[in-house]
Amino acid sequence: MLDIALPKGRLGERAHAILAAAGRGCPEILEPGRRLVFENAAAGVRFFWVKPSDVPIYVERGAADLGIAGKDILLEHSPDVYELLDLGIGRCSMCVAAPKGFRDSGERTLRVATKFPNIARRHYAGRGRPIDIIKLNGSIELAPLLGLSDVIVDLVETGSTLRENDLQVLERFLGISARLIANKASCKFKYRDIMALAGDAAGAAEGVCAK
Amino acid sequence: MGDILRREERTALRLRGLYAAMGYRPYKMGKFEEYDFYAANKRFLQSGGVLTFTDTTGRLMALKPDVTLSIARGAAAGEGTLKVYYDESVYRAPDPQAGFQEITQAGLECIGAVDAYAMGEVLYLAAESLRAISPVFALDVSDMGYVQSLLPELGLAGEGASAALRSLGARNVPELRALLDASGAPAGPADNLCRLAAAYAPLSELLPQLSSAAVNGGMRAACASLEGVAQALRGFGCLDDVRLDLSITADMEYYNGLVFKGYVQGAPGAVLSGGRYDALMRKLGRPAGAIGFAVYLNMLEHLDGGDDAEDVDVQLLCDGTEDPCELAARVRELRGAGRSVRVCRRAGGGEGAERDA
Repeated sequence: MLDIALPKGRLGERAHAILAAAGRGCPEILEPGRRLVFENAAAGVRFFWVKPSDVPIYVERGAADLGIAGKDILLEHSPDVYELLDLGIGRCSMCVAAPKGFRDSGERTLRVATKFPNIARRHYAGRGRPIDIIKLNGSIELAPLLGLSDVIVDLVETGSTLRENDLQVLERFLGISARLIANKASCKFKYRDIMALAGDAAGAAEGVCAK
Repeated sequence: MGDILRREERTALRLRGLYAAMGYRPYKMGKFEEYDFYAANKRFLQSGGVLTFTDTTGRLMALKPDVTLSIARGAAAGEGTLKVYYDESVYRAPDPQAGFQEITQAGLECIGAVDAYAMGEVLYLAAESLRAISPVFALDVSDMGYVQSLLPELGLAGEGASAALRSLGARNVPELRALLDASGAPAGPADNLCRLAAAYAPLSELLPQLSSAAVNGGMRAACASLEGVAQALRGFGCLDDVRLDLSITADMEYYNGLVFKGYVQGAPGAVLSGGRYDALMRKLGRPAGAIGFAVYLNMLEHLDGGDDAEDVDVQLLCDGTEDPCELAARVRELRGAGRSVRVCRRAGGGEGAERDA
């Protein structure tokens, strides 16, 4: 039996669709309700819904053998897990954005508002640009509009939220998508099961993404 | 006595017996050392954070975050081959958000003449250490010399090499492939690395593949070293316990050859970690071989599952009105019969009672 942590929400539903197409789904999971744990003994899988940012914690600590997590969360928290597969869903970009007309003169410390302080710090450290990180938990777009920050570092999918708030993308610096991750110890003792599931999911992901 | 020891204490006792039986001597570590020593070798610790304080003479001191560094420092000033084992607590912050932790670890170090037999002996003791914890275990090895010699062949250096090592460590083959393509790596060695990065099988099975993928002297030397280790492991009768896993990586500034990790069923991560660190010895001023490992005893705490509901044979529930002499006599009688006893006040009052737990 493989325990799989799915991120609550649309990404988790799409990831489950891939696993279902690979013959590793659990039909009950699609029924409305508040249950968090779903098992398909015949397929050898047990799913549980967790907050997206918690998926790597469940996997790293061995509560789940496998999980689906965005590359953004993996880069931000650097969990000690295996990253077995790019599922090709939830595609977006990590971007630097600012109010239209903004120009970084480089003369002052750049104030950066973000939910991803580690990613932002690494990005600017690579360029030797001094920054002041302002860690926020939501509505990041508001920060430069109110003068809290000069720029934001955030995920951008279609860019419509930025446009509606008169912000523009200055730079797309990371491609993001959902990844299948695995607990390292689980891989030692359930190697064949885990690699078989990853192989099945790879085939199914290609089919789903091609549609 | 086994019943009253916690699992990690029982394991520590077994390990000490195991290491002593192979001629390793006990090493007693002091709790403090000058901070400068750790500051100069911070990357060896892998996880940052050192607890510091100023001692009575004004020197900045550190609560020891690691045992190997201390032993290596002592050995660097000595001669001959040192074989020691330890069972100590160290203090560091593996997860900066969780703060400092006391980490109990047992392990051993072999510093001086380290040949194929010595490496095999250390790996054998690592396998036996894992077996002492659980019959279901995995001991995986890799060789940093092999990887280090391969990277230049792939056109990887600096940040590119670090990124490739991260991908290798995460078994992230698609990302590794993208890095190799971006660096213009030749197809042959790149394909071989991607194939080996995904492989996980007994050392004896994968070693021929590793050898056939070697394209320079450094890689061939690493394969020859692993072959020697395999021979020693065959002699110890534990070759089948060891698997090859190139995802095991370590800082190349300190580790230069064999690296390994051990897992037991039920623990979420590696409970044993070790490797060859001749590079550290060179940095400390003595060109000697060095190899060792640590078993993280604090990770064994939760292997037994939940706490037992009852930890004594008999509970004597009192209401406070009992004759103390009679109560004490009953306790003495039960203890005399070899039963463990707890006397406690009945919750919410009520009459006294005796019950088998």
